[in-house]
Parts: sequence; C-alpha cells; structure tokens
Amino acid sequence: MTTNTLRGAHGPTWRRFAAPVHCYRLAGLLASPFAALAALLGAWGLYLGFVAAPTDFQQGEVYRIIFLHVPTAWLSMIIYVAMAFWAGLGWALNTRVSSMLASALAPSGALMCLLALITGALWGRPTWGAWWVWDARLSSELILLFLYIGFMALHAAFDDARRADRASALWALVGVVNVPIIYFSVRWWNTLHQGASVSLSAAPHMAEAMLRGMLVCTLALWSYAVAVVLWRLRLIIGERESGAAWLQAELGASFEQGQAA
Amino acid sequence: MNIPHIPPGSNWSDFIAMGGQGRYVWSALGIVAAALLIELAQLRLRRSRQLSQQLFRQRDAA
Repeated sequence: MTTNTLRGAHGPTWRRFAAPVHCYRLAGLLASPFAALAALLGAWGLYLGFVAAPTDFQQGEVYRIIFLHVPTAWLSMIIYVAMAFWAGLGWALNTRVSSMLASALAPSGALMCLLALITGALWGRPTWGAWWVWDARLSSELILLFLYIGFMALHAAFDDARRADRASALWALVGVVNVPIIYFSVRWWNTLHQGASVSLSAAPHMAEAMLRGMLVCTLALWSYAVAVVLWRLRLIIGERESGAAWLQAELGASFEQGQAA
Repeated sequence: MNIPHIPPGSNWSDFIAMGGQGRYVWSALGIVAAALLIELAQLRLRRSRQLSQQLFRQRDAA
C-alpha cells in the first residue's frame, strides 16, 4: 500500500475541508439538521423547565430563569474558546477557512454573552435586590462581552482580510485567559453570585427534574448556535471568496432554487 | 391541566403569574426568544442580499 492510498492524493482526508468549497458545502449540509434538532430540544427543554420542573424551595418560581441563564452563559464561554481555537489554527496553519469560522463564531458568542448578562440582571433584581453588582462573576462576564466586541471591531479595522485574521487571532488568544477566570470566579472570590450548581467532580446541587431541564435547554441552544454559525460561515465564505467560479455556480443554483420555490 | 408546580384547581393565570415573579421570568424568556429570532432574520436578509448581488454580477457578465 502506498502512502498515497492511505493519505489520499492531497494529504489526510480532513484537510479537504480547509478548501472553502468543501467547507461551504459541508456547512450547508449540516446546518438544517442542527436547526431542526434545536427546535425539538428547545420545545422539550422549555416544557421541562417552565412546566414540569418543581418550584424551588428557596427562590420560588423566579429560579426558572436558570433554564435560559445557564445555557447562554455556558455557551458564551464555550464559543469563546472555540473562536480562539479556530482563529489560532487559521493563523498557525494559514488556513483561511479556520479564520472565517472564528469570525462566524464571534457574533453568536457575543449574543450569548449579552443574553447571559440580561437574564442574570432579571434574576438578580428579585433575588438580590439589584440589577447589577460589581461582583467577580458578573464583571468577568462583562469583560467577555468586551473581548467579543473587541475581536469584531479589530477584525473590521483592517482592509486586508488575512491581516485582520491574524490581528484578531492574537486578541482572541490573549483573551482566553478570561474564560477560566469567569468559571472559577465563584470559588476564587467571595461573590454574591451563587457557586456552580453542576460540576464534573461532584454530584449536582439540584433536583433531577431541574437538572434535566437545564441540560436539555443547553443542548437546544448549542444546536441552535451550531446551525447559526454554519449559516454565517457560508455567508462569510460567500463574501470573502466572491470572485471564485465555484461560488458563483453555487449561488446561481441557490437563486434558481429560490425562484422555483 | 396538570402542571405539578401549581396546585390542582388553579388556572392559566396562576401559571402566568409565576408566584408573583412572572414579569422577570417571562421578560427573560421573551428577550432570549426575540434575540434569536432577530439573529435568524438578520442572517436571512444577509443571504438574500448576497444572492441578489450575485444575480446582478451574472447579468453584468452576460
């Protein structure tokens, strides 16, 4: 067996997806199933959270904001790490699709971060008596929002897309240090924000019905984010590769499909 | 209607009230839902712009 049959004629198979054309088609193929999954899990998760889960013995009904707050907050951190990873990979391996994926992740992460802060404020007001406090958890999450906005602003500040990719990759990688700070802030500092309800090292500090609702809502929002990021990735590839013949053929076909429908 | 967290014999308005904290709970849900719908609408708009630009480009080329 020659090396070529093992690795394929152009290197390992996964490298195919470094080509914008393959990535564009793969994203198109995967986005709709993830969107459908998000809708199903979302309906189930909201039922579990707002209807099936019992009342909290300390907080009453307002704790139900957890089914929105925790998924958005978790995703704001996960998306940041993913964004930094792909931005770094695009810089290190010089694969521009990786950098485009990082750019596609940024607005979704910023939105999740903003929603985590808003739902947190709506939860803080009735339970702490304040919309906002300068607590370590809240402040580090606010910094995360500024890191996302900075990433997008820095990227937009360059005319040359590859220079923009490299500069914003550096920004994203430096900012990663904030993610463990957010995560551990409730342990490292004495915060008003409550500690983790769920951790990998200990049994969860919540009723099973509540935990189930929270996990289903998280999976729903995760699937939604995957679908939206893949759609946005296709748009970004469409904008940045607009001269490519394959893309004009793809867009022409989509347009005719739209006309026929 | 069988909702475990409100006593039997209660109605929809008890569910909506969320023990008097309904405005916080439903605002949170409303804002999250609205934000996701706006994001989807914005992507749709960007997509249709891209397609129409492509159409113009093809017409110019022809």
